[in-house]
Amino acid sequence: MVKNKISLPPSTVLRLIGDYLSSRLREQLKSVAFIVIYLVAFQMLVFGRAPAQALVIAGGIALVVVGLALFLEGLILGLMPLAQRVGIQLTSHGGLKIIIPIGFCIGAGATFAEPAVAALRAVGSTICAWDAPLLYFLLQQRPEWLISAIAIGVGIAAAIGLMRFYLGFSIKPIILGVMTLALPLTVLAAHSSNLAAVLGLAWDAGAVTTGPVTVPLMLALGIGISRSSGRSESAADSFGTVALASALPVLTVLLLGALLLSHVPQPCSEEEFFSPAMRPQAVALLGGDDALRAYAMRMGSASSRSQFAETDAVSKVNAGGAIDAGKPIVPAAGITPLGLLREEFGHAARAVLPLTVFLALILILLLRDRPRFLDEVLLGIAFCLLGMCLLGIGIRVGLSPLGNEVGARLPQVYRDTTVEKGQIVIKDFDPAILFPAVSRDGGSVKVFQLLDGQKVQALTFNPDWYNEAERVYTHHVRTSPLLHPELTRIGLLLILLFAFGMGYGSTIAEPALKALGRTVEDLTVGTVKSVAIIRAVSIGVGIGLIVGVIRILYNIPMTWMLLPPYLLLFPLTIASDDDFAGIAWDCGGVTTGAITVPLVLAMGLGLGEQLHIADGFGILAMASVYPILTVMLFGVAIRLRERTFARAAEGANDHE
Amino acid sequence: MSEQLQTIHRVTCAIRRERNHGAMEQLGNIGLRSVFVESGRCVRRRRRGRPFGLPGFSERLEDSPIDVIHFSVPPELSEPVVQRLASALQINQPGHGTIFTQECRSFFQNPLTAAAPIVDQDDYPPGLLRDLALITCITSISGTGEELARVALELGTGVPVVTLGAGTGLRDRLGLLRITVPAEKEVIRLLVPAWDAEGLMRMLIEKGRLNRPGRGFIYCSPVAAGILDTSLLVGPQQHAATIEQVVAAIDRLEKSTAWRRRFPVLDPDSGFSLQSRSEKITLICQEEFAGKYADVAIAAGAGAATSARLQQISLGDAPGGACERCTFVVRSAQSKDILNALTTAQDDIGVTLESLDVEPVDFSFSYRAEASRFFRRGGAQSS
Repeated sequence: MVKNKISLPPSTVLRLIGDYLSSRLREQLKSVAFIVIYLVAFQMLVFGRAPAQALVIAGGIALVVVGLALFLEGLILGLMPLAQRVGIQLTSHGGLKIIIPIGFCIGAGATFAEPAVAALRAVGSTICAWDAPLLYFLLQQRPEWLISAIAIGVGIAAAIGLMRFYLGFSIKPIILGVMTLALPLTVLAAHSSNLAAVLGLAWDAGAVTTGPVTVPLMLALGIGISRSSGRSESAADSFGTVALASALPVLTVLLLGALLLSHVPQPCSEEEFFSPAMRPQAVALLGGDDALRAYAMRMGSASSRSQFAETDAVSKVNAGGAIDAGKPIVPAAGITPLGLLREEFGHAARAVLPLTVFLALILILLLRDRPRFLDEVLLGIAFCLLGMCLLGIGIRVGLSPLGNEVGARLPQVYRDTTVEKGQIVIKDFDPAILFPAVSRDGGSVKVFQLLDGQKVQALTFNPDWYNEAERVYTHHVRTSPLLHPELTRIGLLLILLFAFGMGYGSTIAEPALKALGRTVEDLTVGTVKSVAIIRAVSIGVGIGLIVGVIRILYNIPMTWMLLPPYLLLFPLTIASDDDFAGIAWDCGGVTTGAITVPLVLAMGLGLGEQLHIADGFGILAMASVYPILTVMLFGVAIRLRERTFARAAEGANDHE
Repeated sequence: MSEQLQTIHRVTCAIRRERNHGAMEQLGNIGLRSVFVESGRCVRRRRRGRPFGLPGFSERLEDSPIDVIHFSVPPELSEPVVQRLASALQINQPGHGTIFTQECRSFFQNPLTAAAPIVDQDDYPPGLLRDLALITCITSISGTGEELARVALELGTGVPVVTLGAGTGLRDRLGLLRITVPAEKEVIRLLVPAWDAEGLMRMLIEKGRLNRPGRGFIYCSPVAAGILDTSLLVGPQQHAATIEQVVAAIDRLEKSTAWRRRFPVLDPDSGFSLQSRSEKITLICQEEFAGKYADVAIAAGAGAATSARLQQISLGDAPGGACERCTFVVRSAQSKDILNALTTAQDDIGVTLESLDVEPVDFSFSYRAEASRFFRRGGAQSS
């Protein structure tokens, strides 16, 4: 197509590539730096030790940086131009008859492709069948129903969203309408003990599906359609689909739950669950006698297991593997690098390829068009694949372990365990220097005095630490727990601070959010900066995580945490401009992507496990709603500033 | 080919986005079937008092979103239309926007359907200036645009209008290596007094370091008539009228900007050599096809092309949609060949052009032209 190709000297080519690589890598390095420094600093300062396996983790983080850079570049080069072109051609060739089914297919397809749905199952792996039968049933017995319900929700959302761009009606009434349906349903569901357990899942499901590939694709498609629709106000109004895609699955999952209510038993205690009276229902829930027996062996207490004592030894051996507990987020330590690569490449291919191929087929077969730079698009898709694969490996090897390590140690902050800080080895220790001391309750201990530099300090003698044969006394210096068994203020504060930083840091690095930020900056010709949007969203996620953690710590019902922010959003949405309403609601869906989901879910899971709380759900939903609030407020602030500035420029008499 | 060309006036109007609706209503009343709209921003200086009551002021650049509207009218109607629009949108007052009209030769009929209402010029407040020029600068490095806008504001000529674009040309000839060269461009348009255009342009070249490779391209084209936005500085005021208001008032009284002339004599041998005898070709077509036309033009001899995304807004029965505009600044001698190539390429590409205009360019400057002057060889020194 293009004649007289220029061939550059190798030195120039190298310089060009070098500049290109360094600028892209530097950008991602900056965005990952916060979370890494934060996590390491948290470990060093609060727990006083460096992360284990620092080298492996550093390697993993390097992979994250490279993966992010590749993935984002791939989005910009390949996926987004492709989707935008499809959007433009759809409008001029098809009209609504084509836009609606294609929107539905893309939305539904994205859900099946999204690897984060698997993460939801992992979170639910600790749920006991007797505590929340419906939740257990959905997650472990019929995950395909659950995913289908989510897919239908996302599909409808995408269809409505794209239709909106074509017809040009405002997003506000749709979002508000969906919310006015979802919120009362949530309140209603909270009254049924079975459905209440599903609430967290329902609200998280929508957040999870809108992942790093789906969001940019939907955005680009929307831009294409709304740009070519030829209405004057549509240019900046290409948002809102992602928001719908996060909100509608709440409805569909709750509806599915309501439909299945009659098929599952009521929540009960463990003894009741395994009692003969409940047997038929329990068997139905777990899908067979053997499955129930195996489940009892694996999850049940001794008394439950005794109910099945007559079973032979073979089934006991099999018990562990009988039920698929969902894929763990953190891989077993034994996984080989090659296996990891294969697994992550599989994830990446599943997330990228089906949607891209679908779009490409539509463009080529249905719309009889092809991208202007086919090589660029193909390269972009390859970048996306490779980037996502590296990103996945990097997160699993680097970021996740780092986050988990901090998360796992967090309980130390408030638990009654001492932490060993160091040892003092005293040679030629003579027990004769010991002298008795008395404690307040009258007990007798032996102490000795140690001259440490210029200071004399009294230490308690522990006979276990004295090696009589070598006459060496090894004193273990222990710091008392920072706090008491129960949560105290500083412990709580540290956990909340940790949650905030985790949310803020992981969101800053989120690739889908970067794509959204760039789109906003582009559409507003730089008047709304991408950095500002990303920051507003990240602060929102941080706040959301704080609230989510509070919910887990104090076991506050989901409804109470969800209703207030959403109710606050109603007047804000009505008051704000159309384009910012769309952007803000989209940000809510975007936040929960490739980096945030594993890190945040791991934290929720860890905390839930330590505090013996049934599920760590709901954290993601919190991480979705608060960014909407912060971005909406940010938008209102920007518009106010713009308006006063324009008025000042016009009036020219600005008295400040 | 040239017998098909007819003279038209292209009106460009940059207004605050909120006023878009009012403008569309006015344009619909005038009888236009459709207009092209581009999103942009304008940059002004914002002066504020320092926080905590500290003495002095702090100053920074502040952006506000604007819409840039383009349409064509027959030459005899251009001034009445501009006047009418200006008075309806109060553009003759500083801070309300910029409007100007340029004469060009077009391949297409003007889009006015009904005869525009006869406008009695006395009904409208004066303010139209006839000695303006348009400096357009296309920069390829983000940040340069900001720098140039600052220079323009500090020189006190007018409010710069910044839009986005993408470059094609050299970049596309690099093969897949092109991805390493950013295609995004910032297009800065600055309406200046014609008397000072050349001096200002030299200053912008120097300040924007456009005489270095790969930084950008600048040209100056004549303007038939227009209204400058002189609200350059927003902030606390110490006099009965701001200096901008005083300047605007004198401009209006003088009906000229000649009194503001500030670069008295230019030594033609000093500094950079500006290219004269150029023409600017502007084409608008359905989105995603400008690239194909750019390839055709480049094959026919154009050096490089800048494309920008527009929206065609339907005001009547005409279809609207996403469009792309592509501009080439070429030597006058080449322009006929390129125009011929473009018009004949329509059948091959299968998408007809929405518009194809040619307008004169007073002078232009690019590193490539400068470099080839020094080294006497064309080609690809710049990246």
